[in-house]
Amino acid sequence: MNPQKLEHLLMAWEENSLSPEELAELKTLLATEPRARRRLVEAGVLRSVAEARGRTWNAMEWSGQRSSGERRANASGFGWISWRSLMTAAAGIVVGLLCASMATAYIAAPLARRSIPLFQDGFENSPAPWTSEFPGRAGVWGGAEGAVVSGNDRAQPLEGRHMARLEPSPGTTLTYLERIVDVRSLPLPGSKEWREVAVTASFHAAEPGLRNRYTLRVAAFGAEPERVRESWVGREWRQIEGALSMTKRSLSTREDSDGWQTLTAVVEVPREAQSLVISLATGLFEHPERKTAHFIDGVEATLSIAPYSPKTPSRSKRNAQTIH
Amino acid sequence: MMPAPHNETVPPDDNALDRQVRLFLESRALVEAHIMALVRDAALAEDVFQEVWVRFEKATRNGELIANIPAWCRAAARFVALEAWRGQRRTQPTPDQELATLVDRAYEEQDEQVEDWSRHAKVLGECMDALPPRSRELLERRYRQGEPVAVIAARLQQSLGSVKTALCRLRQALSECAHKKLNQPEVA
Repeated sequence: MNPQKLEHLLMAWEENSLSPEELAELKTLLATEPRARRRLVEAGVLRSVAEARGRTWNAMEWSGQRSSGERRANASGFGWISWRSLMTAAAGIVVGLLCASMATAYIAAPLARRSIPLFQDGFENSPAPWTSEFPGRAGVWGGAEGAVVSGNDRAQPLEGRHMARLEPSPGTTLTYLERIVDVRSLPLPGSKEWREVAVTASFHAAEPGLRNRYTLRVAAFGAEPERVRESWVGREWRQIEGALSMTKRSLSTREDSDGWQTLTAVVEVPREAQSLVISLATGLFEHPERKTAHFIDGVEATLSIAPYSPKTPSRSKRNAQTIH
Repeated sequence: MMPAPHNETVPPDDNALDRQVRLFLESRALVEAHIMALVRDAALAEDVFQEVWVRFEKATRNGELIANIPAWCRAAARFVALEAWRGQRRTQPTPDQELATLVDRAYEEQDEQVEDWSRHAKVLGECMDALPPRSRELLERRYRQGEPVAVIAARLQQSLGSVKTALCRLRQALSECAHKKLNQPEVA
């Protein structure tokens, strides 16, 4: 068996460009040479790993990690579906599962959509407690008194070993945990593309038997991260000025619904956007006078750029909630 | 109902579920490669893989103990691919049946080597990370962007032959790199 020849035949087969003579030659090799059959499998695996690796390289380039030497690739060599995602799915979060990948596959043109994780915070390494002030810069949490805690009799972390515990704010009905994302260095969409960020967060009540209210808001601003506070703090949602786009998802639980509740919000991020504000809020439904703590875990944000497509569903369809 | 060779059904158990998910992950390299060989379209292959995973998770959750995960996934993938072709009114590729049988045989022969292939995929990824930028670009264009070799040649302003040869050598070099790493004694 000539390895070089086999490689050329396999490459032609992968491209659907085998001539009748080459097809016959490949079949003979595969039928008679176990090494040829193994090489066919090996070439298939190479192709899968290269495809996954390409995504990881893109993500590292976009998020500046290649230069810093940090690697996001997971140990399996695949960058797309993480072990954590699969284990989460196995734990029952089917809608959250593989979401970027599945949504991508169904709504975007083949091979044209690019997605990169902006951040994934399971509060495993987050500095805490946070300041109760709205964050003054990108990449940190703020807005509520909170701490990173381990699981307890009442609740276990959604993922990993830790979760955030938000203490109720004395002066407001809801307690807010907020974060600014600097989008200035992120890739821009082309003239026939749109750009969006999907944010997912999960909430859990610290006390059973109460109706809880959870809210996830995401808004894109043309202001720099250091200046976005002026557009956000102290304003009613309806009166937020300067937002280029915004999305709000809310969920009110029943007294008997327990466990983690997941919200996903998708917001368009126009070319002019410089900052994104992510706001998570917890509180009690119908009991504004009563206060209780809540847990938050599994906060993730993913940027996607895809061509405009007639198949692209409306944003409201892509915003979703999951109860599990 | 999904084909399930040599399976049995038992009450769901979290540890069993975890174990099955781990085994699925270990089989991933083989499963994805087979799906791509089956459907010959990167976007459809990804759809099929995701759907196979969803069905696998559901079957496992329902207590199905899947003895041969790659075989189960191959059967599921064929079923899902057929559904996708019908649903999207896409033309099913009509590969040479003899060749298709040989391809299936090639994958079947590796069913017992799932762990080895999982390790192979891991070290292959490491080898790819160590490639110079131009080699990475070639891999990315061909396998991530799905550009045919002729298109790559035109974009890089090189001859078709030189790109084919470069890709062929790159694939062989990666294969050698992976085998070398796999044969290295593990350092404690």
